[in-house]
Amino acid sequence: MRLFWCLSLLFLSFSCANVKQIDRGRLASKAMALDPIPEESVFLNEVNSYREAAVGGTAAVGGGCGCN
Amino acid sequence: QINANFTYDSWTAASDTAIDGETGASGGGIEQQARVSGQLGYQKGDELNNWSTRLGISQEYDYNSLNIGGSWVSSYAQDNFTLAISPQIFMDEAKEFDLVAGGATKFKKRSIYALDVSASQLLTASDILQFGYTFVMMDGMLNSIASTVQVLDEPTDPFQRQTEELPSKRTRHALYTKWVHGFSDEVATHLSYRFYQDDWQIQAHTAEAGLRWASSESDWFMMPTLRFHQQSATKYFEKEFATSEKYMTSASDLAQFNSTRFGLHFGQDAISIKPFGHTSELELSVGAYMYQRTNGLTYSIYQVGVGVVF
Repeated sequence: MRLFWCLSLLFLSFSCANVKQIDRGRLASKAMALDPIPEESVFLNEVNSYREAAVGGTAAVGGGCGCN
Repeated sequence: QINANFTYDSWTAASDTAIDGETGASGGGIEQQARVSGQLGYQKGDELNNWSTRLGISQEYDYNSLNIGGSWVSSYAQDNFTLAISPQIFMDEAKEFDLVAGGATKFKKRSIYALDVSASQLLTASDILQFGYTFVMMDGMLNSIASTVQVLDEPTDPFQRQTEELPSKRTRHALYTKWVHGFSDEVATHLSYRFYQDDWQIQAHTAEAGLRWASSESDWFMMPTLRFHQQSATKYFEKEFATSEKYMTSASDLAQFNSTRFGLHFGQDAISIKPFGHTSELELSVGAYMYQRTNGLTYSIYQVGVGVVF
């Protein structure tokens, strides 16, 4: 619960940052995307979720692995 | 917007299900396997909010899955701040391997409920920061499909093997963050970190770094990445057991290990082609990933993607 409130305060402080639309040219490039290769990442994340004990941050949490 | 995808994958291995002398290539077991999966999605949105939903299925000889998921994304402060909430439900079933029966038994249910909450913030004209939390709850037959353990005082099996036994419930938590910094309009770096913990007493740290080059003039993209993962073993793990216990596993995926993965991805967009007199664009992508684990597993992944824009 303490971690949740710390993160919430962090988000609130960040929301004060304001990058104007006219200054977002660089942010729109493919190099700046949070996931520039989403189709390929799906398979890579699935493999990680079954060959390692950890999951999180991706949609790969179930659905079989085709690895048996 | 409606989207759909279909996947067929097949593989073969010398001993992919080798357990003692009863299975695998030496024992004449399953040598080639295939998986079929499909997904149908629907997406709708306006300037501030986007929501999507999807329905997916997956089938292979020992695992079936019916899954649904959704996503709601909302923007604030003139799109400087974005909040996303994504729930998923997997209604899976899997065949458990039974040593006594000498093969995979009938399907048993495995339910997975997941919720991901994440937020991203534009820090500057060159920086994006993302934070997120994933919660997963699992219920049902959670044993690995074909794993056994060695029990030294096993009275009946000549190879001292017993079927793996794991709890029917598992609660998992992950906190993650990612930072993307642009050095120029064409060069950026990304750093990500994830902390994971569950009630099987596994803790894991995962970090990844990557460098990205994107040429706006020539429409190519290149990205080398380095990923490091470290995890502790579950409290139910042993390489061998002196005597039979309620919960036992020797699955290497649940053991303590470190892993490293180096990857290189290259993509080329906007390749003009004229099939049958109509101008279209071709998109090509190739990637190679080398993975190595300290407890013996190594593998490579090679990806080739072709897209056509009409």
